[in-house]
Amino acid sequence: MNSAMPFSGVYGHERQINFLKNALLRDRVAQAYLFDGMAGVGKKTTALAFARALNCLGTEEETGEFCASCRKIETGNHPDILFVAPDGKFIKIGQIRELARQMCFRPLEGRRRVVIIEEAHAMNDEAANALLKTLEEPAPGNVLILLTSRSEALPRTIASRCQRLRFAPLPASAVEAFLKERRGIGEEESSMLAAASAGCIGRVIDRDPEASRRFEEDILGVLEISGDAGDENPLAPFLVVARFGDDRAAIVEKLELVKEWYRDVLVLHETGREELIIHRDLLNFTRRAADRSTAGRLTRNIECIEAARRAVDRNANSRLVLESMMFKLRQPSTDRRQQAARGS
Amino acid sequence: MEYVVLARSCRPQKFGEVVGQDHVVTTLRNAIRMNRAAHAYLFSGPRGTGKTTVARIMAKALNCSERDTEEPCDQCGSCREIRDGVSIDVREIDGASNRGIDEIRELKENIRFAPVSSRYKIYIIDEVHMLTKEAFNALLKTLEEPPPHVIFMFATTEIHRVPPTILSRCQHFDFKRISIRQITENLAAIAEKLNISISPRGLALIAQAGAGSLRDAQSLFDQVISYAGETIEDGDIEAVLGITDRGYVSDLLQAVLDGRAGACLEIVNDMYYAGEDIRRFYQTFTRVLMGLLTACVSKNDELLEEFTEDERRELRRRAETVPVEAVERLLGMLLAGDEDMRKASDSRLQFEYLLVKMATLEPIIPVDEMINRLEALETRLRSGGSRGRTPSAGPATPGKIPGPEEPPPPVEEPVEQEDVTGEDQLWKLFRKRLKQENPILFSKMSEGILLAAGEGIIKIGFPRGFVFLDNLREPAALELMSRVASECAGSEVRVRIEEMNGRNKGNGVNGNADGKRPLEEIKSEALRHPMVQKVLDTFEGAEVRDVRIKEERSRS
Repeated sequence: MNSAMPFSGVYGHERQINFLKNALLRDRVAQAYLFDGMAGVGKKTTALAFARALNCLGTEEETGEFCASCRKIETGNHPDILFVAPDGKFIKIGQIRELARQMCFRPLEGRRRVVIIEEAHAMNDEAANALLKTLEEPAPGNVLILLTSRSEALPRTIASRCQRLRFAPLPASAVEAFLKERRGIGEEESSMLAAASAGCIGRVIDRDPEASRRFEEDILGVLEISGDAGDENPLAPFLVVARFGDDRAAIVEKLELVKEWYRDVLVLHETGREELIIHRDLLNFTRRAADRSTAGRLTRNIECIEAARRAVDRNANSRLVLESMMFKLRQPSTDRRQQAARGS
Repeated sequence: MEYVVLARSCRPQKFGEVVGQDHVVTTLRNAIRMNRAAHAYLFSGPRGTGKTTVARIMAKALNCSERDTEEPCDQCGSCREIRDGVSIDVREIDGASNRGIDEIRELKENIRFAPVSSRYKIYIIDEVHMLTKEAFNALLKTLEEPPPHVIFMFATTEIHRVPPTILSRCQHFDFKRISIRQITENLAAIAEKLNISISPRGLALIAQAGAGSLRDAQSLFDQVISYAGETIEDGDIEAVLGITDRGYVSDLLQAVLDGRAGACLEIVNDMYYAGEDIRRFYQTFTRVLMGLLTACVSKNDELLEEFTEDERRELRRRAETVPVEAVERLLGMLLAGDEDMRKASDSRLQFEYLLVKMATLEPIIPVDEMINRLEALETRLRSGGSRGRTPSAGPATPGKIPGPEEPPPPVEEPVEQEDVTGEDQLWKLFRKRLKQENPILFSKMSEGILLAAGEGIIKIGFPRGFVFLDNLREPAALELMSRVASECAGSEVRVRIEEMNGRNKGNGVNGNADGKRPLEEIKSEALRHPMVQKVLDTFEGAEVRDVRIKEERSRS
């Protein structure tokens, strides 16, 4: 069986794919796998490719295109590929029971039934425990693939029953190739986005780069230019808060951006190496800020944004939280309390 | 024939094959030999240590039709049925999926019927901790006095979730983690059986990664075989296990201890793109730091068992050079940051942040060294060293609030015991005695500042226009104060009351330094006041701009 073809759509992860291919070749496919890696890095894509390879009819060499089975999987029409995803916040015991029931029967038309459990860490306690027996000794013809971005939140008893594949962040070159080949994005843009992706395609494909850059420049302008200019509008930080928008999810996302930027400043401040930076499009701001800051202030700011993010996550009044955050971020000195205590 | 993973295909089928649970196996064997099998067993212990396996072997042994010793024959019909999971008389129930009271009621219905073809009807309930409270309670009566042909076996990883009423009705066996040596031996046996070549070091690496669970180790071994085939190089193992992290841990530890924040960030960057799981790495890092702390405080190598020989040597070497307080402080930060690490949306960023914080800490001065310095200072003072010492040099001036990272100041104690040579001490003692002697007078003079002491004279300064100045200058008051002062100093001392100029309060005999000192003390006292601390803590970013002494205000 030629197993190369089904995997052709995956960017990067050569080692993981090799591992799966070897398992196929040596006929050592385990009953359960755990794909562990951050969101958007290609776990599901790989899982689907593996499902294709497991069921591939092997006709593509003659016809030059995907076989019927692969096509069905590609279009989501294969009856033996099952997905389980969180229902609301959790994967619940009912879903797992239903799954166990379906897995009792032989696959309908494929060689193997492949069950893909997305965000497996979202299984609540009951669901995870209910899966244990099925996971260890499923009926023949079943392969379970658990995907998770937070493997530490997964019970040890679950992880212990799976073969675990760790998905590393993609090297920038792989992301760049993906963006150019699949999305038709230009050379320069691709390389910038590849750096911003931090090794994770999912992070950049849904983003409107232009809008987010405008946002960043506004916010950072207020945050960092402020420091020395006494004549600017003292209300600026409060005005700019509106730029975060009203939607909580969007606010959290933007807070992440600002936090990442401070991280960039910190990295530049400490190492002076520009290639380690995530947001290269903001390099001018970053350089300027790195020159004027201290590690103490930057870590404090990161702390501050993280606290704000959690508060927003927990349904605090987001406007208040953001205003107070902006206000704190602009304070120049590191730790006034200590200064006050030492000096005066 | 579909491939079955090692953990399943190498599941022990006889008592003799069970790894590392001798205390359980021996008891069960004896029970069978002496026909003293209990009606309910409970097996608990960490994942992958053999609970379900032992339950199945026990079931086989109890029902085996051709058994002559306590081992099951593994040949007869009953044994084969149990092995394949199709026996009618041995039911293995997934307690987590069938956890309600209805399932238990159904089970109780069936219990009454005699076994079909074997001696016992055996119910194995796995993951029993997931049964609901009602289900547990519905089981109690049956569990205490089941029909003679019924035997229950429960298996669970979380014994604390099983109610005590259940526990007390079962024979309870606690399974231990399996030692690295035993896992290694088991893996070596498997390798031999499957004709796989692998180095002893490779086996040890896998065993170590299993962390006491045989199944984990076997899964990993399986994974390595799938990856590399029948000839396994150490490099393959490292690739599959991702144990490249060892090098990172050591480098990172060094960078943190050296306070090189930049280097820390570079290491994290390399590690990130190498695919290291930051959260897992965080745990490893914490463990290694804990190991370092252990190495700092104990010479016992057994406490460092989880580390390999090389790692242990490195920890020992490092422990020689690093003060224990520094390790303690870093470990404290890591442990405190654990929660944040879990909750953080971006674990790399969180880790980087924490590392920079750790690397930029003020270097710690060991308490020993600090005490030595203090003692040196003390002897210098006693031998009549410089009188015009500056406030900051004096050990008794805690000029700043002790920060959270600083070691507790052991400063006050030794100074307190000092005999009455320091004028500071004399002043304190004087105030104390006066308070005992005449509280009213004391309250009047308590606002005073020591301007100078020595040469048989104590000068006490008060702000210009101080309300009680005249009272204090009365001969009787002066007389009383002088007497008390003489008693304190052990020689004849006169007390003099002086008026101070608001601006240069320190125009005493010895110039500025001595005059400023009490003021400094008052300020730091004010800053240390619990109320002020509370305010500073409550209002984040609050600051103390100035400390003003009351008289100054009342004067102006």
